[in-house]
Amino acid sequence: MTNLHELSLKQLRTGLDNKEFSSKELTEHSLARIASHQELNAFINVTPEIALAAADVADQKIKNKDVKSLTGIPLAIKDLILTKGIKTTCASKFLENFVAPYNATVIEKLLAEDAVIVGKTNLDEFAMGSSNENSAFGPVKNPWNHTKVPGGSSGGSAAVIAAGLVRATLGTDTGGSIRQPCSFCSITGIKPTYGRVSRYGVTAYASSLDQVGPMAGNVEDLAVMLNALCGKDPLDATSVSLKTPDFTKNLGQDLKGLRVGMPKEYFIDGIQAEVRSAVENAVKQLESLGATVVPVSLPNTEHAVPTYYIIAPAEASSNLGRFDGIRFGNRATGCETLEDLYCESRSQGFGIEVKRRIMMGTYVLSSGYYDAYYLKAQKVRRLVKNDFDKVFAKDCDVIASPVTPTTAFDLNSRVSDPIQMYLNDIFTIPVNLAGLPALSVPCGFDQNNLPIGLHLIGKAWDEETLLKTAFAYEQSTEWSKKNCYK
Amino acid sequence: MFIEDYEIVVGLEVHAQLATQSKIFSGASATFGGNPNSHVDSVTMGLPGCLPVPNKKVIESAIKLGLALNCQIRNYNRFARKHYFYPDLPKGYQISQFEEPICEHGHLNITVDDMVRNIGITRIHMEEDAGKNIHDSRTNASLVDLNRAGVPLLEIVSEPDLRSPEEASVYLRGIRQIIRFLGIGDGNMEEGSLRCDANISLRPRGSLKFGTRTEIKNINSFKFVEKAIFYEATRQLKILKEGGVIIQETRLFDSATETTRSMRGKEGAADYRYFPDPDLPPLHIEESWIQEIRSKLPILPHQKKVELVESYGLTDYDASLITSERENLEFYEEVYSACKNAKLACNWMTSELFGFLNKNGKHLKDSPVSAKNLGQLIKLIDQGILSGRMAKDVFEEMFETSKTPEAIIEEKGLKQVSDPKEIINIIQKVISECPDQVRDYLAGKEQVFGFLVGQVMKNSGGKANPKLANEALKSELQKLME
Amino acid sequence: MAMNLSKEEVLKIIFLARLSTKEENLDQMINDFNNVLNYVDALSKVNVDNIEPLAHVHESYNIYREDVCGNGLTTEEALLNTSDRSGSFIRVPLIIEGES
Repeated sequence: MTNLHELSLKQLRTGLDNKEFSSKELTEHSLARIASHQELNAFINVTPEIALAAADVADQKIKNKDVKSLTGIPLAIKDLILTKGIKTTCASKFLENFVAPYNATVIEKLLAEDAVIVGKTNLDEFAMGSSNENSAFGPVKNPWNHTKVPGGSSGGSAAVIAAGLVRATLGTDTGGSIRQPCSFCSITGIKPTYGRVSRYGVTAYASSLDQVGPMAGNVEDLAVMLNALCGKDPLDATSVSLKTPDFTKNLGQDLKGLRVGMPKEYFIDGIQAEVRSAVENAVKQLESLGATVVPVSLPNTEHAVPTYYIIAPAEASSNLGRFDGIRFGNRATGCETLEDLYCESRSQGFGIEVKRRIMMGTYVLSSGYYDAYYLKAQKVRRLVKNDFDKVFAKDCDVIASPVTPTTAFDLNSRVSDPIQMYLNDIFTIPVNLAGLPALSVPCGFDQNNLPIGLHLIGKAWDEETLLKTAFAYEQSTEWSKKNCYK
Repeated sequence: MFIEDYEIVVGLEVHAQLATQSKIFSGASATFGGNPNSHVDSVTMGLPGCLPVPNKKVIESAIKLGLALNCQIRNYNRFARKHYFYPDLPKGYQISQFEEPICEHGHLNITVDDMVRNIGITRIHMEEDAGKNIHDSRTNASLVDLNRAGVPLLEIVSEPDLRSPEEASVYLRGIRQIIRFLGIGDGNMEEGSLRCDANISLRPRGSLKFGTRTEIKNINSFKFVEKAIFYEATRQLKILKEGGVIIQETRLFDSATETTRSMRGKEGAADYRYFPDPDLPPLHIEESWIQEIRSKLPILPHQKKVELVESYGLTDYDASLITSERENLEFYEEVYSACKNAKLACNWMTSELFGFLNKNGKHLKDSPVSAKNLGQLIKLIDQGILSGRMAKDVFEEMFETSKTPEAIIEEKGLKQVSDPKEIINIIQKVISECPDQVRDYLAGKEQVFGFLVGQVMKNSGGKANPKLANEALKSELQKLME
Repeated sequence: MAMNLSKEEVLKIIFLARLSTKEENLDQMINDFNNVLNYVDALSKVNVDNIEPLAHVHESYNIYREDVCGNGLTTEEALLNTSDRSGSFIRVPLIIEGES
């Protein structure tokens, strides 16, 4: 039983259904590993009682052969996503004691599949960050090397899989927050097409960019999780009415006829040489599996990061207006006036990066600056999207690139330089601006044994091709089999 | 006009709550009242993760009002966020419409002192209402109730086309009347479902340039619209006459003192930072939907008024009275359809019924006399079955008991005698019982005719049709002369 | 090219955002703000003639709900996280003068 944490979701399903082990045993194993890996600081809140109670219910259902895709399987949830009756902090001091009175739609969907939720994972405060260092509850350590960041903002959700604490988690991705930590931690994760998964109950960072997605140890597990999450939600007007395909169905198909685009703007100077060569090798591997590789151009790539750092803060400054200390969250004491109450509650509750983005967002929307910044950024956003539309219309079916320019960097090395930190997301941000699906799959290690991820970007609503491509690649290489379990 | 050298220029921003079951962006109850914070859900509370989804009926209502006010309906329109911090505004922003409102370029005709004036409607947009703050200086606290937060509102913005407090009041009543005719809201100013802000400025007569305006908030009754504008115009006039300058500002109307006062401090900081709400996909209103709504619009008060005057022959005054409220018109039409006598229906409704309702402090909707029964009563008069006098007695009984006129007539045996034979029988009896008076009449003393008619009526127990009795008595006496 | 905002201008933004102007590392915040502002100002040189702004990434329209009630919270659920209450009301410091 000691190797339960090495089994995939598929193996866990078989084992549970064949009564090789119970959900209770599996959950206890997961909770024990969480307890022995506390130095990672990957969880903000672990909920053993709730998890064990859910495991008991699941075991009963398995006994009655009433089994769904995730019955009895322990999962962890990024603490940006609301869970009824369990604290949701968003890694913010502001919400230190906040208990949501309702579940996010994605939580309802996982519970409908009888999943066992073991706890809430650490993140950058309100999902604003690329290193998980902007957490009011301290940084998460990269399981591959404890002096390195795990990436962010879904750093906790990536680290718990890499460390073998649970097999799958939920993350959110606004500018790379699923894909970048997956790349840094050698796991897989997908940001679905904007509108594919409900955002209801997910604390909003930048509403026009945010998307929930699964993170897992391999591509097949990712597809199983994605199946559970998708679908139109009447509570989210931006979720789209499209039939959800069975994302596991096309896994195993060959790549003949697949056209893989390599954008020249994504293979530039300044990328760590090992990252570049690992990704180039991965593309060669796809070629050997039957794909054809075509050079493409996305000329507006360089504008994506500044565009993002106008649009995302603008929406964030608006979305965070509700954190005013009045109905919930931190309320400063001893304030005599209403204005003091607002300013003090927010100033005490928010961390430095959140304040930076609120200030920037407030500025770019303010009277006299809206046209020059916000409106301009929306226009450039269209240029970025048009680039992808053109390339996908005639040149290729998927785009391959690095996820990040470098492997995981040292803790504390970039916190004082916001722009350096922002540039880390140069390859992931354009995808969110264009609303496209994209995933990260392990494709190598650098000389310090730090993971490297392959970034695959797909056409809108075509997660199937992405998963098929990633699965074929994964099955033909050994990268995903390497782990750092202790 | 109280100001000799200046012209008052007024534009109104009217906020009308819509009568929907649920709120504009969520399924919480939109009903007025309730215990504090009981008509709420996660969206109303502005909890993290909540998302708005628009209520279709709100969009439909906005289109209805737009069509009724002769607006163009924007095919492409969308919601925007308006940001400010206030305890009754849970999200830190109000979802409203900014650059792309649903209706634009409309107008409403109003009549003041027999002059018809065309008042431009700049725009109508949809937005959510805020909650309520109750201030308690005793405990040095304000108390917040979010039941009203998220209740749907239409904001109707007029052009600065109004020229007097009276015009503003008539315009506001006109808007309310249309809202009620359309059935999209109740326009109740006491409950705050209709509210109004006024932009007021003065300019020298003949000048085309507008003066500096002030915005008056918190006007919550028809009476106060006129008072607030009157006070503010007077205040501005005083400043101008003393050579002062009007400061563009927001002022609060205080209904207790009937004055306005400056809301200092809020102005400098206001920067609403509007931007299109990313949570709400744009609206693309199909022409077919507009046509469908147009085809189902009820006939509007001004159209109905013309019909009542031209086809029904009512006076202008009566037609205005009947069409002033949707329920008046509906009641009238039911009375009319039961009796088919337009003038009698109007007279009985506006004098008898309204008089009785007034005396008893009742509203038309609580009338003990139903429209159908009133129509039935009028029909009985029209057919000569009841005299006017008898009808009044029957009506009183109807008002007391809510019974049908037939039932009351049956109970009291009140039916008018209109059978000529029966009347002639009574006349014969009177002639034989009053030989002296008959002789006097035949001798030329015509004044005894009245006495003889009285005897006939008395003998019939008051039920003889007076007109018939009169004619028949004359002809019977004539026979005696020959 | 963007100019650096003065301290006073940044303080105005801080107040508009209802953050505290009494932050201990205020100078650092102002400095960071100006650095980021200069960075995003790179967009000023991008030609966007005849380009429509993109506010919604998918061209979806007319997502409505019918006018029915549902998904409500009880008062206790709604005020679960409210730290200052007076009965079923939420309490705040006295609002001096304002619109409502």
